[in-house]
Amino acid sequence: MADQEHSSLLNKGMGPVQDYPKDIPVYAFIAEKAKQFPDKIALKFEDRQFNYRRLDETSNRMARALIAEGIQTGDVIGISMDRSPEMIMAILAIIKSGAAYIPLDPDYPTDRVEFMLEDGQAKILFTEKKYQGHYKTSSKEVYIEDVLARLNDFEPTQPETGVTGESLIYILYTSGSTGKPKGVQIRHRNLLNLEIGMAHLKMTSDDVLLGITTISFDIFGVEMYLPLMTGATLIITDTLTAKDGRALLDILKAEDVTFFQATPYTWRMLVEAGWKEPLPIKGITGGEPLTKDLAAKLLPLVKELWNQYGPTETTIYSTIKHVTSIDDITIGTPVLNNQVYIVDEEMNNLTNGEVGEILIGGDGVGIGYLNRPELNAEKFIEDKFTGIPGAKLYRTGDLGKFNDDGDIACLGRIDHQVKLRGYRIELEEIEYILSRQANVKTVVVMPRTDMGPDMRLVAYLVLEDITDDPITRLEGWKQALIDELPEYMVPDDFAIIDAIPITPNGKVDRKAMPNPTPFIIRNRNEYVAPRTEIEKLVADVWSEYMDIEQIGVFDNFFELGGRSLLAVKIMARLEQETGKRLPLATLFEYSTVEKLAMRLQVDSKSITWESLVPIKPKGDKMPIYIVHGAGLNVLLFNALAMNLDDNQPVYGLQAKGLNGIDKPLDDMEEIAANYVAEIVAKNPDGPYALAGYSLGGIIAYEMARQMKDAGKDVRMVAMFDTFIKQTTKFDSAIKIAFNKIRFVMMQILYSFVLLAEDPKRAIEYKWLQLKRRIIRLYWRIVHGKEQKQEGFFGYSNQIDEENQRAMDNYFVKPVDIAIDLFRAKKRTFYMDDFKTMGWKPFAKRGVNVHDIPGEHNTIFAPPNDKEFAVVLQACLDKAGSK
Amino acid sequence: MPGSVNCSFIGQPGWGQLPASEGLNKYTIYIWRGATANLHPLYYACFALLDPQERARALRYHQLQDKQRYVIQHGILRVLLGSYLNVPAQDITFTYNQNKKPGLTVTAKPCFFNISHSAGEFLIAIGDTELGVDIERINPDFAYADIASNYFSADEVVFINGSHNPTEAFFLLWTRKEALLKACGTGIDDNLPAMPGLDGPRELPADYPDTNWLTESFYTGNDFMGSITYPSPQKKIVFRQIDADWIAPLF
Repeated sequence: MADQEHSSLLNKGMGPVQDYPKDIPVYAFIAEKAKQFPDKIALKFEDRQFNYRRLDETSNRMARALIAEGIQTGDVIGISMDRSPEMIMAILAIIKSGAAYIPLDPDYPTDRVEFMLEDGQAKILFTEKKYQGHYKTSSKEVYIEDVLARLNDFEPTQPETGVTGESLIYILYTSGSTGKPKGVQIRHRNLLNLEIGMAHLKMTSDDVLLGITTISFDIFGVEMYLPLMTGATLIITDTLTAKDGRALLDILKAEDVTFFQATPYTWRMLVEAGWKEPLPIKGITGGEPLTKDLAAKLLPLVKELWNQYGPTETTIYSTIKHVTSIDDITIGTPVLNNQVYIVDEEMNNLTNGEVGEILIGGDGVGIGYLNRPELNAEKFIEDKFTGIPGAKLYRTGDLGKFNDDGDIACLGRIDHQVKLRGYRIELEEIEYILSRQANVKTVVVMPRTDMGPDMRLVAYLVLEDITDDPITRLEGWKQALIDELPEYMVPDDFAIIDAIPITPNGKVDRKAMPNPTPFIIRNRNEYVAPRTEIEKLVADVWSEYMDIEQIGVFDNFFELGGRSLLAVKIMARLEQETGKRLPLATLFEYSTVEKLAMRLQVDSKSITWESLVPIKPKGDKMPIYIVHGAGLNVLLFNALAMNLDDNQPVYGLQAKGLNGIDKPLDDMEEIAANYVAEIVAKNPDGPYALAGYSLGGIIAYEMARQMKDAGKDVRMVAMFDTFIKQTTKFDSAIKIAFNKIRFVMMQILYSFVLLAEDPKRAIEYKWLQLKRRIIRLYWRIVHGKEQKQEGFFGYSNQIDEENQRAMDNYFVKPVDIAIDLFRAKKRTFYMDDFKTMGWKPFAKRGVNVHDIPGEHNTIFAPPNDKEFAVVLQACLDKAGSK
Repeated sequence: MPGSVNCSFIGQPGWGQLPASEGLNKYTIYIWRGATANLHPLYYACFALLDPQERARALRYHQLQDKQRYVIQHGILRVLLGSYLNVPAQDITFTYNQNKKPGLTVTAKPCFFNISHSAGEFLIAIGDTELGVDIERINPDFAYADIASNYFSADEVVFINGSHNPTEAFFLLWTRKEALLKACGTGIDDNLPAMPGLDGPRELPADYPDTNWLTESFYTGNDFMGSITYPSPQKKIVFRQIDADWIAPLF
């Protein structure tokens, strides 16, 4: 490697190095400006303004008042005040008194603030009379009103404090993953280094900065200290104004503001408030990624645009980028005396452009978290790159990479890395393209894992004109994406929502994005032409009566605008054509062409309802046959089957009678015999693995007994959370009564245990149980015994009931087998024997218990299906190789 | 004793333009008539009142006019119910019976409603007892014969064929049958032929509850037929035309 290349690679991630007066406290620089420009306006708030002399003198007097309250150098003061000039002076006074401050936004939840005061051991809570007693705290409350009233009792000079660059200046709490916020400790010299490093921005004493950020957000530190350390003017707004785009725009114009820092959200708010004319503003954006679409909107409106990046732990900003083109948006290069490393798991610095974790070293790295030694050890690691003794690197948990020009691209959180079907997805790219489309006001694209087995990419759109029909736009949006992006980056769903949820810090609140399901625009179902004669007939009749040219088999009658009069007309016509008279209400239930056509052609010949359903028939391993549970639907096993090995065949067994023609069986032996017959017909020699879910486990057990008797090679009998209890039918009346009472008592008691552990789950389960009972009862009352069941699913309730009766009539005989019991870790109902769920007396060769995640109703649901599949496959492989 | 229905025709009512502010009077049924085409300016405001299920449903319509009609009708329904019940329109929650007939959850005073639409016109009926309403455009090109022969009684077919305007006669009977089925909460089913549509008192099939219903039919403009069914005794019916300008303040 040539020397020159070598050195340029080494320089990647190295910020400028420059000495700075690291032993001088931050406030000394403000005092110096006060000497230099005593009559210049330092602070403005509404129609009040304060010159530098007054700012300096007042904060000195206030600092002395705090000292009079007992403050010593190194103490901590919590500050909770409404946004005002007094708030700024109070913060300045705190550091001038030698103390450090904990910024506390009065809008934050009280228990959170109380925790911070406690954790930070704040000696004083510096607040306003209106918040008197607002927090339960042992910190002494000092009110700004009292301090202001006694100002003249104190000298207007800086008290002696002995504060150095190493002294603590603030403790800022950020949310922690454990739910308790963690206090980030920053020194005077850390902050000083940053403010000096902001020289890029070329702020002068003629500049005016509009400050809107809450004190609880670290970027506030730039808004307060940068102008005051430069001799410029700081305008601050109250909280309401800070959230009002139009008001902010008015101030930006009227006050000749030249500097403005905000999160992308607030910048967007300004654009949406009608910002059209360019303003002579140097804009700083930070706190979350600057998107291309926002940059495209801002670049023509501001004089300069600076994108900044950095975690609170390394003092506000660690990198800076002058954005001049939307094709080059990065987080730039490190600020003064900061270094950035992109590392792999072996801590190699990936200067070659590979993706790794962003590590930050240098003078921005703060002291670490207060009272969190373990977290500090994990996040603040020894700086092996510079080798300076005691120097630390902060692990950001963000992913990044070096571009060829040395700029750093931040690729999001490691733990939120978006990978879809194996591809890395650049959400921003998608958002940018969508945001340029007709009628799109704002867009957030995010992956969701809660919408089924697969992750789905969802585009949330806020529309400009809600009366415009999004369905007509959908194709255009998709086309625009396909034109510019690989196909896998086109969102699966497009949801229209009213507004994008925002965190208190003005970031997009991704956690609060609603489940998009109700808001998804359903395209007119992709047209699928009729596939059978009967579908063609149905589609033609609809087409004729509804005056719609093309009707696909998945189109829904009502979504096409169908109404009852039309429904009747269509049914009459179909009767003429087919000679079949269906109930008029049929179309209401079977409302797509496909379903109605199927309904029309259902007769005993056209569809067979065998019990054996091939769920995943391919593969050469020992097949597993899974018997339905009380829900009757073997489709439940789909997810589990898909997670098993590719060459593991899986079959389901569903109840006879689902076609509404065969009579459901009510004898356990007979049900099992039927299933066995179907299995053996397809697979005469075995070996076999049998399994059953819930009630199905008992059927599987009986099947195993019969197959063993017939000399079949049953290698495995698995219970999927099946609880067995010997039927009481053959017991004496007294024993039955006693056991029943005991069981009910224990059930009730266990409900209380569950309630305490997880009330929602327990109640939901109880409700489900109750609902099933009610449905059964209803069915019995309404239909009686003789009522004929019609229709596809007419038998479901009857089958459930027959199975229950089969269970009641079944006397369990011990069998010479081992049982593999897959037991849900979370228990939802009381049972007499938690350990083997009652199986011990019946399995002569013992019960092997395997715990699987989830509870009875969710063991097959993602993400539990994956772990379940792993455990099950291991058992199957073991049994298969016996 | 079986239930019954007594049908009558009241011609063209006067569609007044009084606001809803007087509240829900006892023994009164309010029938509101709107035309989607005149109410487009309210679309945005209507959409904002809908709950997620309604929004999802609206967005599933394939035709823009279906979606617009749905949103406007449901938004105005919420506004009217909110005004009668004195609750914010967006806070109203609907329940659905097993045949998907919408109703209200428990309210401070008895309040029932039913809605219907046809060809851009819609009706909203609100009263203090159960009711059903239907509107149909009297479409002169509608081939009613196969429906009438399959789903109307022999007497009714005779009545239609003997009428000087058979199409109008068909829609008169149709709206009566549908209004009655909706009032009963069943919706269109195979009892269609047995639902009496001719004038005068008639019995309902034996498996129906023994309610005595009244059905009153009326013109809605020149091209539409409407019918309302409610339990006896006879009530005052207030007919109102929805106008964007004066309903807007109720939002």
